[in-house]
Amino acid sequence: MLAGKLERGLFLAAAAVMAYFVIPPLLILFLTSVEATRGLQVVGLTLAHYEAVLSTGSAAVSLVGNTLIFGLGSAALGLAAGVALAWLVERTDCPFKGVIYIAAFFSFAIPGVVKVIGWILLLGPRAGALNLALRAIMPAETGPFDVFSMGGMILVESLIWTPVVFLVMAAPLRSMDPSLEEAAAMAGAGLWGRLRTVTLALAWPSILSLLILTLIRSLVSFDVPALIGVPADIAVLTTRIYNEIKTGLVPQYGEASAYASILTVFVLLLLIPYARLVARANRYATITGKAYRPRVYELGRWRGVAGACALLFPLLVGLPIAMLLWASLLRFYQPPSADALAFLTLDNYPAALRNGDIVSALRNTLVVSIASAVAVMALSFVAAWVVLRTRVPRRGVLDQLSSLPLVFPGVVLGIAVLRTYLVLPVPIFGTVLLLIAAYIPAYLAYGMRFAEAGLIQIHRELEESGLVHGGTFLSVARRILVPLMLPALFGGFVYVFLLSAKEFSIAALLYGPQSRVASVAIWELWQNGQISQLAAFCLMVAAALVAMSLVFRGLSRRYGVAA
Amino acid sequence: MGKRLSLFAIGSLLASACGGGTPGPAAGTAAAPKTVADIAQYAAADRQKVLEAGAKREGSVSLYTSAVAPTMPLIIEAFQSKYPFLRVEMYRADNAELNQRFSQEEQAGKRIMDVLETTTDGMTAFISNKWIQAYASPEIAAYPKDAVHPQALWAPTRASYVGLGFNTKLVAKADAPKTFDDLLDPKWKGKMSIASSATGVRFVGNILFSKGEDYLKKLGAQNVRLQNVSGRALADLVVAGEVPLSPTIFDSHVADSKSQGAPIDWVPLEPAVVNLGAAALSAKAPHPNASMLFIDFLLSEQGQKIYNDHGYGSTRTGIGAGAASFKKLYLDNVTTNYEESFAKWQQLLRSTFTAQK
Repeated sequence: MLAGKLERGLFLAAAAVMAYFVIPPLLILFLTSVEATRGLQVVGLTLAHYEAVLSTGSAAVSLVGNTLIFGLGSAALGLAAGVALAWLVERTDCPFKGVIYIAAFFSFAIPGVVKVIGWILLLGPRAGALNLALRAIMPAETGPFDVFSMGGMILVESLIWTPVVFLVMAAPLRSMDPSLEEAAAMAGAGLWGRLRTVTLALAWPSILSLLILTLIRSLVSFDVPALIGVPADIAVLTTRIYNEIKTGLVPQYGEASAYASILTVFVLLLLIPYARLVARANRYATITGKAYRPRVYELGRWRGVAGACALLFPLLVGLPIAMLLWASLLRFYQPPSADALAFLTLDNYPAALRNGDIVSALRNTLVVSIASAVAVMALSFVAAWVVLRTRVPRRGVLDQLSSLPLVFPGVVLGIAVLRTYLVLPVPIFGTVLLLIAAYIPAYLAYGMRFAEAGLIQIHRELEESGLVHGGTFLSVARRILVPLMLPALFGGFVYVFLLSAKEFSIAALLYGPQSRVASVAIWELWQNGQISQLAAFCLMVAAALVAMSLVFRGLSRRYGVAA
Repeated sequence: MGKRLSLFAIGSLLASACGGGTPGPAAGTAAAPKTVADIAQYAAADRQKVLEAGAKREGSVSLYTSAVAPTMPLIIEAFQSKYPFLRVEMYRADNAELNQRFSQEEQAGKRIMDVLETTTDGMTAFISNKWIQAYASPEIAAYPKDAVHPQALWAPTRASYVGLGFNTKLVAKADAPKTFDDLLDPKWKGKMSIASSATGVRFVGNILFSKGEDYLKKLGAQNVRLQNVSGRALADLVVAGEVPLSPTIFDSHVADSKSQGAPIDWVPLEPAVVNLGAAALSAKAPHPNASMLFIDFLLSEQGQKIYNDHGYGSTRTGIGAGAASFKKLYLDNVTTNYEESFAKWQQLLRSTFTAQK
C-alpha cells in the first residue's frame, strides 16, 4: 500500500486537471440549454428548449422508437462484433491479425462523413457498385441493397464502433492468464462454457463500460442519421434536434444543448452499475506474479472458418474505403466498369495537395494530435490507477468527470471551448493549444476506457511487491505498471491520435490563421471538392497517419510486455 | 415594388441606428478620418492616399469568409502583391461557424474581424445586431443598383445560381425538365432528390413565390428524396447516377464537373434563385483603412475576374455576362420578412418531402 497522502494527492491532482477541462464546457452546455436567444444575442433565460426536446420526444412515438432501435442496434452490434474480433485476434491462432489491426487504424483515420459517402457509392440503390454488380446477375431497376434504410444506418454506425471495442478489448484479452481457461476446460467446460464463465466474465467491467460509451455516442451521433437517415426518411432525435444548427438562418444551439443536458443524467445513471463492478476490481485481475505466460487457444480445424469470419471486418471496413480509392483515381466519379478504366488518372493526388499551405497544416496536425493523445493517456493512466487501486473516498468522481463529455455533440463542445477561452485569462486563443484544450475533454472518456481496461487485469500484488522492495510510486509506475499496461495505453494513444487528426467539426470553429490543421482542408474539400479530390486527400492523410501509428506500435512493443 | 420600398424603409432605420448613414466629406482636403464610420464613408479625392497611409500603420487585415478554396487564397495573393505592406489573416468557415465565432468574440469584447465575406443569408444576424458598418467604395458604381444592399451595408462579391442538374446518361438532354411544371411529369417520380440545407429551404421559397403552395403539394407527391450532403456532394451523386436529377444544383459545380467530361448538365428552372456572396465591414474593425483597401480590391475588376475564373459568377457590369441569359430571383430582396419566411419554408420543406409532419 502506498501512503494515503500520496493517494489523496494524486486523486486531487487528477480531479483538478479533469475538472479544469470538463467543467467549464459543461457549465456552458447547461447555460446554452436555458438561454433564450434572438439573432445570436442572449435575451434572457428560458426552459423552452427543454420543452421542445421533451415534446419532440413525446409527440412522435416513431421518432423515439427509431432512436432506440438505431442506438441500441448500433451499440449492440458494434460491441458484439468488436469483442468477438478481439477474442479471435488475441486469444486464438486465427490468421490475418495484422490486416485486422491495419483495417481498424484506417477506419479511425478517415472522417465519418467521407466514409458514409463511400458506403453510398457502394450500396446506393441506383448506382451503388455492389448493386450494379449484383444486378448484372439478377436484373432489376434498383437494389437489391438499399443503404438508405434502418439496416444501412445500423450497419454503418456499428462499424464506427466495432474497431473501438476491438482495440479496447484487445489488450486485456491478450494478457489474460490462460490457466483459468485451462482450469475451466479441465472441469469439463466446452468452448462456449469457457468463454462465458471465464473469458467474458473476467472482461465484464470493460464490456459494460464500452456498452455505456457506444450507446451514448450512438444516441448523439449525427453523421449517419443525417447522411443516410434523411434520404431514407428515417428521423431520429438527433436529426430533428440538430437540424436547427445546420439549416437555420441563424444557428440555434439551445435544443441540442438541452438534449445533451438530459443525456448527462443518463450517463450518470449508467455509471452506477459500472462503479459497483470496479469497486471490486481485484476479482477481475488476471495478471499475477505467478505463471504469467499469455498463450493462445488453438482453433485446429476451425481455424479457416474463424479466419473467414475475422476477415469480414477488414472487408466491411475496407469496401467503402476501396470505393474512395477507386473514386480518387478517376477524373470524375463513375461506378466501376471496363469503360471507366479509360478515365483513370493520378492527377487528383497532386491537385489535392495544392490546396493551401499543406506543410504547416500537417505540422500543426501532428503537434495537436500527439499532444492531445499524450495528455489524454497520461491523465487517464493516473485517474484509472486512483479509481481502481486506492480507497480514496469519492474516487468515482474521476469516472464521472471523464464520461460526461460523451454527451457533447462536437460542435457544441467547440462553442463551449470557444466561450471558455474568450472569458478565461488564459492566452491560448488562436493557437494550437486551443484545439488541444478541446480534444482533451472530447476524448478523455475513451482514454479512461483503455486505461481502466488495461489496469483492471493487473493484480495489485505486482505493485505491492515493487513497493516492498523499496520502489516509489514513480519507479513502480515506470518499471511495472506502464510496461504491463503498454498495450492498452498504446491502443488509447493511437485512437486519440487518429481521432484528433481527422476531427473537423470542432476544428472548424477553433482554428485560426496560425493554427490551421489538415482536417480543415478536408472540410474545405468536403464543401467544394469533387469526390475524387476529397477521397485522394483523405486517403493520403489517412495513409500517413496509419504509417505513423504502425511506427508507434513498433516502439511500444519493443518497450512493453506485449505478446 | 411595394415590398421593395418597405424593405428600404426598414433598412434605412437600421442603418441610421448604427451610425452608417452619415456621409463622409464630399470633396477637398478634410482632416484624415479617424473612426471606422468616417473611414468607411470617406469619399474625398485623396481617398486612396489616405487609406494607404492608414493601412501602412495597421499592417494587416483580418478576413472572415465562407468562400471556398481555392478562390480566396488567390485573391489574397494578388492583393498582397498590390499592397506588399499588408498581410491578410484569413479565417474560413461555414456560416454557422462564422456567426458563432464572431458573436462569441463580440460578447467577450475581443475585436478580431475586419471584413466579412459570406452569403447574404449568413449576414442576416450580423446586420440585425448592427455589427456591420455601411461603406462607400468607388467600385460600387460598377454594379447594378439592385444587387447592392440598399444602405450599402454590403456589395456583392460573388453569385451562384441554383437550377436543375441531371445525369446525361440517365436523362437525355431533350427529355430533361425545362420548367418547374416539367418536374411533375410521372416519369420523374422517385428519381429526384433535393438538398435539405438552406439551398433546399430557398428552393421552397422560390416555389411559393413563383408557383404557389398547390404546386409544392404536387411536387411532394413525386416522392422526392431529401439529401443532407453538401451541395458539391449532391452534384457528385448526380454524376454517379445515384440521383438521376435534382433541382437544387449549383451551376458552378456542374461547370466544373462538365469540364472534366462528367455526364452531367444544368438548366435553369426560371426564375433561378441567386445566392449572393457579399463583402461587409465590421462596425468595430481594428484595421479600417486596410479593410477598405481590401473591400475595394474584392469588388474591383481584378478581384472579380479571380472569382469568375474559379467557380463563382460575378454581378459586376462587364464580367460574367454569359450567366445573364435567364430570369433570376433575388429571394432576400423580394421577401418582406426574410427571417420569418425562411423559418416557414424550412417547416414546409420537412412537411412536404418527409413522412413526419
